[in-house]
Amino acid sequence: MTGNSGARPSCRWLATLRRAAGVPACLAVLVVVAGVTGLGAGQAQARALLSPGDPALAGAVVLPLPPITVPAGASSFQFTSNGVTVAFQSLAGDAIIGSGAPGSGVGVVPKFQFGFLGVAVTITPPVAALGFFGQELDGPPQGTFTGALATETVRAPRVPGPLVPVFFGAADIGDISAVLTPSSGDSSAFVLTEIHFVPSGTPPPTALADLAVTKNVVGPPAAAGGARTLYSIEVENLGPDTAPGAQIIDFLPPGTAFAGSNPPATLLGGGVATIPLGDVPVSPPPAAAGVEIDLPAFGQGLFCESVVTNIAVVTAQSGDTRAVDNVAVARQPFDFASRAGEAEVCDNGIDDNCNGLADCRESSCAFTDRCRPTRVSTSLTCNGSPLSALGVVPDLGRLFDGVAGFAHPSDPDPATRATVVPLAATPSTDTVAFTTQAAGDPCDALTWRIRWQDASGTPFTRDVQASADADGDAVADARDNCPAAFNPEQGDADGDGAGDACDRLACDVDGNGQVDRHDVNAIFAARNTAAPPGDPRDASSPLGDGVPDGVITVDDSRYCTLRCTNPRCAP
Amino acid sequence: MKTPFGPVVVATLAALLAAGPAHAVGLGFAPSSQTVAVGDAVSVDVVISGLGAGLAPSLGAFDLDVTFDPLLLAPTGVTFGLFLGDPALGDALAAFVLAPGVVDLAEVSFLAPADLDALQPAAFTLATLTFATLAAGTSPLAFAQAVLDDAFAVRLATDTAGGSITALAASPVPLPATLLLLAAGAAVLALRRAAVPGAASPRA
Repeated sequence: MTGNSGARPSCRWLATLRRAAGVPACLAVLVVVAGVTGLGAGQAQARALLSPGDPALAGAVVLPLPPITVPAGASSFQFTSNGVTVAFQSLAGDAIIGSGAPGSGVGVVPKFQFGFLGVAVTITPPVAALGFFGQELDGPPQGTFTGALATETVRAPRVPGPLVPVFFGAADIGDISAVLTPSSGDSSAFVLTEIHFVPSGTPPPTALADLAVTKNVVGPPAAAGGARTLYSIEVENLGPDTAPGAQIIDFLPPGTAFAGSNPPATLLGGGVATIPLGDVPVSPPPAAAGVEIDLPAFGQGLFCESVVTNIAVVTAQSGDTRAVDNVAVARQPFDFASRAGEAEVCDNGIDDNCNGLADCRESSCAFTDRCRPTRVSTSLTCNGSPLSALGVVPDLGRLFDGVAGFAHPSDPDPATRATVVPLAATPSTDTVAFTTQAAGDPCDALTWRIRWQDASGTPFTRDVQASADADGDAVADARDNCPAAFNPEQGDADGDGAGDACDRLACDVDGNGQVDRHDVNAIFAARNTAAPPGDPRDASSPLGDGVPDGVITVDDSRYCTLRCTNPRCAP
Repeated sequence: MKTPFGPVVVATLAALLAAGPAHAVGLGFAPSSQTVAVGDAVSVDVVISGLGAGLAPSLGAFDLDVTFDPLLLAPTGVTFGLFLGDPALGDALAAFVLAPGVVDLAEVSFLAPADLDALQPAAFTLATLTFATLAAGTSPLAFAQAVLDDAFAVRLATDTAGGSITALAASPVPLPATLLLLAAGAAVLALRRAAVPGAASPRA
């Protein structure tokens, strides 16, 4: 329960007044509250009513609900009793009177549903105290009661068990003219059986009018960053009499801030503003008003899926022949295109760029600390040995029913040569076995490319390798007899532990121990081709410095002529 | 092989030297442009300039790709110069590839740097390219690749200059000028005889 009396001054402000007036603090409070709210001295403050036996409801009129004339499926209805007209209007236009088995499905009980957005209740003329009695179905109901002086948001107490009788109402907020019952997350329906109200002390209205309100978004589109949005409101009086003391009760969208209105509004607290219209004669022309609100920052009450909903209720001091059109709803979906290009924050639970992928589902968040894999149990074996023992169990990321493919990066067509395994929605263990055709045991030195995609089709790729292999010859550096030269055969003719590839002289292409025109001829013939590390044909760079540059060029040819064993490179 | 130091070559080399920075060697064509009739063979020299002329730098190797319009020209041969050593004597390795639109020619010398310095002048012809002309038009000549190494296998900075070959379509055979003069003289003579009475027949 929250009490909101927006007109109440703060204690600091009261202290200032007290010092200025030279009166005791308690007296100052009493006088100021009475003056601002209009309540009589000694009258109780605004409060919630949680029992039909509350003294504020002494002598209340009790109306059974819903009236038997209202069919199931109705989205609005109104009735009049004891000179008071009560109108119910679904804010989303969906059914507010349902039938069926609440909870257990046993029996048929008319129920009062809050619908998708909730229900607005207007009371004409306003009443001094108001409460709703019924049975809780799936959570405690709540309502924001709007009086002439303040608002009171009341939430029924949570009581365990189905069909538990509950009551919620409000009093001492001035005459109550409207109630907004939102459809909260844990309460979607309420078996409303009775309305209890205490008529206002003012004389019953003699004028009779049919007010109708419409509300539209003027703009701009609801976007992030505290943008300001303008609404236009029009009130028509369909007669037959002038509606005296008309006002618009504006229920601001949750999380937004009131920025201004024309005519100027009175803020009642609880996100409710009242805009006085004065006496509204029979239309045309309609009475017009405008309201501006400031939207919250994105992620702070405003999200991609947000629909900014502003509700207006018009009331007057006259009777209303058709009160169900006294409610208007303006809905403005969030302009999610305004978030395009925003970087995804991986751990805030928000789809920051409104692309439908929040946090770890965004590819840019894969493998971040906050997006650890849910599936880490894929094991690889190679030539019968588990690669997991070599520490290359791959983190496959957060997966959602995709497939993973395993292949060597150099495979020209991984799609046909890869091993593909289906992925489960829940963590599981798969074993992918490889058999190599290279000599020795190259499993740990090979790089395995793992490709996978999640259910949204987002592709991922990761290369895993157990041991470094600088020359890419599938022999791990730790075991390679010439780590800088591509020598998968690991030849070592002289048995000195250093591979033949390392023994070979630069430029000595044929490996006969000398450089001659045959070697130069071989280099010259291979010019303008790539050379793997350790290739004796790649003897130098364009600087003539004897540093291989990975390409065989005419530079290497000339460089090697200078290193020929015999003059003019004679064999 | 053509004489390497004809007047056109000198003019081309002078232009290359004037255009390029002092430390860069020049590479171009000689003649830089020429016109021939369609169907005629045409040759062009690839010339280098800016070398040390008895001193370093001298040229130790090169690898060039010369491009041209394959619709106008068809390469028929490459003749290498002798300033990197005579390939026929085993002083150098030379190779070329003729393809539509490009001639790849490369040579590496087996000679020692001192020998190359002594052998090479400041400018000389690396090779002579020959083409058959296929159709009328102007084909540009350019270097798509120009790798030049000095005697120590260090890449030389190079300024290249393009060239062109224009092939003209064959025109109708003109009437020889002397024949025209003879016809004009005969006409004048005939007119004069017609203007003098009795001139048509000789006196008895």
